[in-house]
Amino acid sequence: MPFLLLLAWQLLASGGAIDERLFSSPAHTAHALWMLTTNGTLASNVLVSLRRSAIGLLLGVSTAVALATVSGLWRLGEELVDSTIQMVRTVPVFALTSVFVVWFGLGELSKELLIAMACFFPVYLNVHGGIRNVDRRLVEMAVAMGKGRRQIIRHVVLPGAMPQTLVGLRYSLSISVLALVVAETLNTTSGLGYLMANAQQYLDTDVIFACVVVYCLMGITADLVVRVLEWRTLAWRTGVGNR
Amino acid sequence: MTSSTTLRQESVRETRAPVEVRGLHRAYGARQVIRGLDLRVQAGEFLCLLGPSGCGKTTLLRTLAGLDAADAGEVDVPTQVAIVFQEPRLLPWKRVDFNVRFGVAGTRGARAQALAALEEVGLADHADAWPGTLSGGQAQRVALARALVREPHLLLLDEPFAALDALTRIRMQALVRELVDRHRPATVLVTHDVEEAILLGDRVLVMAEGRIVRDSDTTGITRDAADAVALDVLRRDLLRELGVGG
Repeated sequence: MPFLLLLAWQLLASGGAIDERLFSSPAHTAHALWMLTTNGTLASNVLVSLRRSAIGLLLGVSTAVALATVSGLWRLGEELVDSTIQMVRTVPVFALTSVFVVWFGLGELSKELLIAMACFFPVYLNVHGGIRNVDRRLVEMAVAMGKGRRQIIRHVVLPGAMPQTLVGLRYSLSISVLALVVAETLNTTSGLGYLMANAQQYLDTDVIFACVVVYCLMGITADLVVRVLEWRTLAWRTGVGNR
Repeated sequence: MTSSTTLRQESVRETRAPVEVRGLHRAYGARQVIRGLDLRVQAGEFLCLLGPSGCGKTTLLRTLAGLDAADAGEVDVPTQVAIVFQEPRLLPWKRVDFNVRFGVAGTRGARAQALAALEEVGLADHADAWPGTLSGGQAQRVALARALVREPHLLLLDEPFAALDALTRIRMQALVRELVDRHRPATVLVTHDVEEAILLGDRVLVMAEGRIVRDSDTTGITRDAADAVALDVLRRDLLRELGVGG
């Protein structure tokens, strides 16, 4: 079915039914993609973009996991951290884009922090929820076995929160691509977003579509990464499914 | 209420210590669950605890397991205690082998012990399986192995057969009796089932409103397996005590 749609689009475009200045055709998009790949512009710009989202993602996810662990495990942590985060959460991150530029300058930092902040919340909420939803009866069992706090956190609480954590990570990865697009629309001189903004000025829809395709591929790859992670760390669940 | 609370769990003794509970009180808010309960369990004795829901039998068991604090009274239990709950409570993200090893202090290097315990419950070939792939009866046997591997001096069983189907239950009852006979821990079984209590226990206690209201020695009846009349009388007495029939 997707191939049929693609074919229909191509036929309509070459037949003149669609204005190719507004909608590039698959063939032209592929050509633009090929050109960008062979002359090296795509690779260098994608690398810059990947670096941004990777740093932002890493920053956001690691702070989220750390804070969620603190607020999920300790009552004091919950009161200090969770209430604050729940308030900040209501702020739409992308509304802060321009403020971030003012605060952190036009360089990489403002972009990375924007991505980090966008990635933070899904992971935080899911890890926190995951820790809170760990089966009390299992914790009680571990207490009855004479296990200490550390052992319980390591063998019961954290593995128990893992499925939820991965759900959060999955959200975050797709959001990181979204945040990348937003972050790169502002004052960039490199990256996928720059390539796209540049093409926009010349109404080069071929390149715009090529960039969209690359964004899509990044999103799909991100999803694939989490699926592999899920498959590896949640093997015990597939065991249930295979029954 | 906190005046005379003592929970001596770490008392150093070489031989298997009997369970001693004196004047135990426990309340949840305004509700008195256990009121001045005394209990002695001898080493190697199999005790069955009967009683209607809410009579405090599960609270008593949890107190013996160290999961619930006493408001007042003295609770003296051996250091090595193991408990099996109504549900298996296995860690679903750890293989069966690790779940059994979770019963001992250091989880490393205890694989041989775990395998031996799994062998005893007839699940040695499931050591590397995920708990999610086990049937209810198998999972409960793993929980039993996890308790056994602790080499408990006191084994607590909180309605461990309640969630099993009738056939599996009969098989599990026989297994528990066999394992207890082999390892001789003092055992306390909480159950709703009068038949089960008579069949498995050396002593059957009936609890009501936070106290023990009946204490019968059943060894004479069940071990000889011939005294059908006495068995019938006891069953009727116990049921009456629980408020069923007359």
